[in-house]
Amino acid sequence: MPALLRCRLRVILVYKAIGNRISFLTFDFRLRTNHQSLITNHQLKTFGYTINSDRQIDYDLNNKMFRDYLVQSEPTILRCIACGSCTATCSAGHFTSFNIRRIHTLLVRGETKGIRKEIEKCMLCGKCQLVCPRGVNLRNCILEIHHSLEKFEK
Amino acid sequence: MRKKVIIIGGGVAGMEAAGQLSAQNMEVILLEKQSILGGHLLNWDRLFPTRRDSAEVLDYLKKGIGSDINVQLDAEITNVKKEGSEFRVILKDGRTFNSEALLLANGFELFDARKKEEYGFGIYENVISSAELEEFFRKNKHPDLFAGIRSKRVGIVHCVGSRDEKVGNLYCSRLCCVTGVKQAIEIKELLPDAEIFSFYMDLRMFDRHFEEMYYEAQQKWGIHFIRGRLSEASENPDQTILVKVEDTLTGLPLKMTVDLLILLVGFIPRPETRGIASQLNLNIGSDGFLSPEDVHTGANSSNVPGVFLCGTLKGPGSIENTIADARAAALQIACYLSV
Repeated sequence: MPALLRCRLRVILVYKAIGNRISFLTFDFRLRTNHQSLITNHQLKTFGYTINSDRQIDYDLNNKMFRDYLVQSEPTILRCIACGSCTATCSAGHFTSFNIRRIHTLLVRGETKGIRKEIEKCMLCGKCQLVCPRGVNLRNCILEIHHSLEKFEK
Repeated sequence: MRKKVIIIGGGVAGMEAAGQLSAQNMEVILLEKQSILGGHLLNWDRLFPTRRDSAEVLDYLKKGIGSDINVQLDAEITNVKKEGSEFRVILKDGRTFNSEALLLANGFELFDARKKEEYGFGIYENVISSAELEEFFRKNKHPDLFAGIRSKRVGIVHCVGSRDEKVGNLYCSRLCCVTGVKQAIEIKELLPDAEIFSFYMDLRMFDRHFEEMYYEAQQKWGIHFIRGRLSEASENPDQTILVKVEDTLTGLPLKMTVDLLILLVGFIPRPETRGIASQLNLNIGSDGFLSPEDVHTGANSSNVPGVFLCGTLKGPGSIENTIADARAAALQIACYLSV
């Protein structure tokens, strides 16, 4: 008998559509036989059913107004080949989770959630633009992202 | 006496080699399985990277086929033998030809997309292959008859039948990437309001001007490139196609509806080539294409003296590559026969 036997069953009991997004209703069951490690209060609170929201990009539902505005105001945004040079050289990215390459990719897919918080980490130093092999005007992209947030996400 | 060469395959490689060998005063017998010369070129509408009409290249190749070339159409080969230093090719209908050298230019076949059942080719009306789109361009010059409506959104799937152990093909077909970009631009020219998405694993824009086409597709035409390999395509009740993919650059699963899904089918070796190779004891590579004597320095000769190889029976290649390869093979045959 091992000292700690942890059995975790994650059983998808049922899934149901909420709006147009599929959400999973999941059930967590933890069994611990180690006498030293009894079920904690926290685990008791989280025991049972939780709803996980869909993390899938649903392109059909996403609002492309934001993206279309960016493309129009800074057309070089279309040239990105996702090489990651910008993010590798990014001053902000060395100290925070800021990833301009990923933000760009999310925006062109119409994913705008959480962008405001992320884009504020940029210090507009412009190193990203210096290294971009495709000549994307990244500083202006970031300014236009700020403008479009003002415009569409008030 | 003029030396005799039999060429098997009357596509780009065979036609070019025939013209070149004939110009060097050799007696050429050109065997073609179909009832017309031209091979795959007959099915292509416009060619990358210039998007010129494929008929122009065909006209060039036809000019090389003079009256002194013995063209044999509907030539289905049953037996190829080497007797001493002579070759004997016997056709199904009994026609027999002899020569001192043999040039194999059998070419390739396109991957049958039905083998990737999860993409729904042959099941859903609005899932088509890149070859079908070319055929459609040739005949109708408009892609939306497939959807029965104006296609608002078109998906293009790269690497169908290539780089895929599940269908037994580990190799890259090399030219589907640029074909996909070319076709995306062509659709956009016809349907300027359409949104076009390319689903790719890697974009291999290896040759001259290919990267420029990719740049043009992004900047001028606004074509979207999503890095991720389609997991499945399924049909909605209105016959549009729902595609599922991981958008690997965001690390999130993605789904979208498209009106038309185009599968970029890759190159596969011809099954007939395998038969000929076994009759002549030719070396076949692990990918099923024929192996040259030396991959760097003897790309046109085989392991059997007098048997030469050119074109896409050695693996995926463009028209430019194939024509250059056919000329190289012709030169090598001329050297071999003059000794």
